[in-house]
Amino acid sequence: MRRLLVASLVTVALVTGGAARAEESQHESPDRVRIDLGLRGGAELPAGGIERGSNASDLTYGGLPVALDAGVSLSRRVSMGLWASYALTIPKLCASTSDCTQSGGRDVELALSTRVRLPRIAWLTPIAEGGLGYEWSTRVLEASGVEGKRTFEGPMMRLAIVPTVKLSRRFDLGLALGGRIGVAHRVGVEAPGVNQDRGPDGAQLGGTLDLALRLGTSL
Amino acid sequence: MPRRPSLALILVTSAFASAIAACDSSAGLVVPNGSGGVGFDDLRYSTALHRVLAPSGRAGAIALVDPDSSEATSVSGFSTSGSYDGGHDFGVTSVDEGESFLYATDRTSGKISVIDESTRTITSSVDLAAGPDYVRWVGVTSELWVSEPSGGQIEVFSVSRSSPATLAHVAAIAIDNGPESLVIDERRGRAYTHHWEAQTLAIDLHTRAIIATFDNGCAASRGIDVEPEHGYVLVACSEGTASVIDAAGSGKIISTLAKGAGYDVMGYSHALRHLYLAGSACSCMTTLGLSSAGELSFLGRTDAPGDTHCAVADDVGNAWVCAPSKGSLIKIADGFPRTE
Repeated sequence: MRRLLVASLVTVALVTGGAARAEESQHESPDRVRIDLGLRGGAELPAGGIERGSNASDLTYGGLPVALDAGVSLSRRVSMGLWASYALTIPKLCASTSDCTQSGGRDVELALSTRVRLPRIAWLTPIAEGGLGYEWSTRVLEASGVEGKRTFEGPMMRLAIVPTVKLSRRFDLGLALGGRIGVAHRVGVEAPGVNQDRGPDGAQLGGTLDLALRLGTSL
Repeated sequence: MPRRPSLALILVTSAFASAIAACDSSAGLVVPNGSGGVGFDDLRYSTALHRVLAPSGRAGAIALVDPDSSEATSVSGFSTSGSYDGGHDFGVTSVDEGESFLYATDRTSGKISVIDESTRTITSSVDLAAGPDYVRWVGVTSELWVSEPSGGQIEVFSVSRSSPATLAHVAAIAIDNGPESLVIDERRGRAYTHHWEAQTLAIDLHTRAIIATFDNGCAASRGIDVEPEHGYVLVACSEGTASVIDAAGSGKIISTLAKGAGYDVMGYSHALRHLYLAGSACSCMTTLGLSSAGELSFLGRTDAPGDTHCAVADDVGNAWVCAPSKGSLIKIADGFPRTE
């Protein structure tokens, strides 16, 4: 399953990047190296599973991710770089305000990413994004000072489409619609008397559906 | 003269009726006076009566459900309310069986009552010292133990063997930060209960002293049961973790599985060695197997109502989960083989 996923991701990245480069090369060639930077914030909803018997939505309603991307242009339309994201996840189970404040989980992602500027439609420039990386997720229940944690981590793929408008010569604003799909490689439990770290029991595909605003700039 | 319905019309109509009946059964059995919602909490199964025992909160009754026919009768006489408030703090919420009697606690009246199984009527009642959670029969001492979290204690009543049986307060066992849940291991002469967080306590049934404290794998401790053959204590946590404590041996957690979430009152089938965990957060019921070595294994997960939090096992291979807002119990056939 994991090999199939990784092969799929690599294929998608190569085909997307290759096609865009081919289209772009017919029009223009890069005249200088450009650095694209982006900062985004939004919301994510859990989807799919983690392992047999565990769904991504069991312990959280969703999350509030903040992400940074940085890429170097390979051509006028294509850039490649890094993606880093941190999402605070909203717990389902805490009983009091103070427990809920302490029960926020997190999704952390690091990925290699590709951004491809697609042909402009009116005043919108759609940008296709793809990334391959790794995620670390933690779900927490704090009960009167006692903490129970469930963790999972593994390789993941991120895909999004970002319709973007130019705000100025330097800045643009986009609405990112996309998501993350991944497969747990390790799962764990930390609680009083328990410290468990193991491979998944029947790993399943799971991730998030995301909506975010991205403020970008090119240097 | 009216036309006679055609055979095709009869077949279509009966098929439609059958489909509706099937939908109704999948929606569960509404307990007597339960439509509109019931604050279920404790669920028990009586092998002697061959009935699921479902204290039915505001409905003012204990439903006795035949696991074969799914038909219900009831014992009435408890506090009633016309509306369901979404919680499980009203009326009769816990029951247990012992020596041809049922014993039930009513959170609204603050009483514990004795019910004659043969006549299915309340024969006597006495006041409780504080708001009750669980009542459990202790056969070796002919006592009833009632957990009272609001009083931070377990109240102990002696049960006379006269007819009708009467109850008398004999002791209170102080439990700091609890007690949550209560189960009796008669074979080892112990009761087990939780602190609200992190720990499970063993109490000697004769001396009423706390004799051991165990880490239980929970941030928020909830359900409890006992596997009597090896003395394993089974623990369910709100955060979706189930653990097995070797309470008769090392006192350590032998096995832990984290699947689903929002567990509270758990069921355990002694015959199949299966745990049933109903979770509100996951809207699911998870079935786990318990090996004789104390290892938990995941068997399956099925959808359950989003407000479920209680489950019980019968002795004919079913789990029953509560659906409070519908005032119903849902029977889920356990198709998994016995765990060895």
